[in-house]
Amino acid sequence: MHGSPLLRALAAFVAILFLGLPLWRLTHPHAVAETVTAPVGTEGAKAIHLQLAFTQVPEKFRILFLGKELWKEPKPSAEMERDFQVPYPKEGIDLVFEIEWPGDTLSAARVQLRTPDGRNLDKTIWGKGKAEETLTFE
Amino acid sequence: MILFRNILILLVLGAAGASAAEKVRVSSFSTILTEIAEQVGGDHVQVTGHVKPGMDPHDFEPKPDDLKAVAEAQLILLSAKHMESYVPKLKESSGAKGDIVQVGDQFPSLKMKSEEGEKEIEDPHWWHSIENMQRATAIVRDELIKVDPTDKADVTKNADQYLAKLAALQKWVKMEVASLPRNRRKLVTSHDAFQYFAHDYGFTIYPIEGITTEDEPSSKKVASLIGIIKEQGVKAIFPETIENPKVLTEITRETGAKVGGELVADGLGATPETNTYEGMMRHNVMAIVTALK
Repeated sequence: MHGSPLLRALAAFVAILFLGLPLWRLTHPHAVAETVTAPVGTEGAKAIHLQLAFTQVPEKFRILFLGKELWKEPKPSAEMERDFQVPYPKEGIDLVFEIEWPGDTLSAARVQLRTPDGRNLDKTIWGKGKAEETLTFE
Repeated sequence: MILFRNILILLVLGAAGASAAEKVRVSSFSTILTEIAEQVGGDHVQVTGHVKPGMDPHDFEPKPDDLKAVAEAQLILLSAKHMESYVPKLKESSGAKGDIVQVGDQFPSLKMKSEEGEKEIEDPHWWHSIENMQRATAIVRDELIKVDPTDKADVTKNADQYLAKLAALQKWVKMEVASLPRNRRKLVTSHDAFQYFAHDYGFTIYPIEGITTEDEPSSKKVASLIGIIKEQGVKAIFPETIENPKVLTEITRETGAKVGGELVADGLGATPETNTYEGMMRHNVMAIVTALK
């Protein structure tokens, strides 16, 4: 390969950057904040932001909303966040969390939800091995 | 001397055996407390349930047989919160010597209007809250242990098992109710029994007045109720009894709301599906959630 070493180094750097970004996104799903439309009627849907932090990375994890799957992560990480569009009446919403952790030690999941009107609500789920809990956000 | 000693040992062992076999006699004036006492006491109790599943406890009056059982009971369980208006009479006429435990009075009350509608009284239907059931179970467990401390290990184990069942039921109810949007949790009912349920699971109760009695309600009252049902977008109403079908038909026609399934309000039901606490709760939750979806 011909050309100046400086140009070659620059080309290599650009190539690494180009390949590295998708790789970094793939290995850091918690940092991806994308809008996901809820699989429920979106009439009057509003934006909410969900942020999760686990004391121990779960093996399985999913959230149900109005009896339907809202968010399932086949390979969860210690921290995850996402935006959703869901109907959010003034009475609030219920989210059902199903979490499976490896082993039987006591683990926790911190759930932070930003409501459509910008309020930050914070709840914690505890479980040994697994947890099935319904959280209300008003 | 040896013979005397052996006879003495046999007598002591015999007395201990008889005592262990003797069951704690419990009188219960609530179908709910009857179930708790049977589940928690297990083989160590003999429970007389005076109010049977399907009976209206509001209308119950003790009869001579009930008084006899109360007189012999070591533990008398009452639902309380003014449910058993006959308590003073019961104490006096039965000569009860057992511990009378007013279970419902030992945890917080919601208020409701008296039948005359003049004053606020404590709502006696506490069992529609599973948290209250867990409190009641702990109370019954402690009272049974107080009566016979030798049963402590078994009674504690049974209570833990029943509490675990209640916790699982609570999880199920929350998940079922979560499938109903919170702005649809509106319970239009003629029965005042569901305040504790409404409080725990985010429902608002709109009372139906005048459509379940034989008296013709005023057109103003019917119009007001139609207005509420339309305004709130209520999908179903739950009348306790339908003694005024003409008015009910008018309301459902005007609003598009349907008549929901029958709810079991005053204790355990009479059918195999509703004659246990778990069965009753599952029946009510399914009837409400299905009708309001």
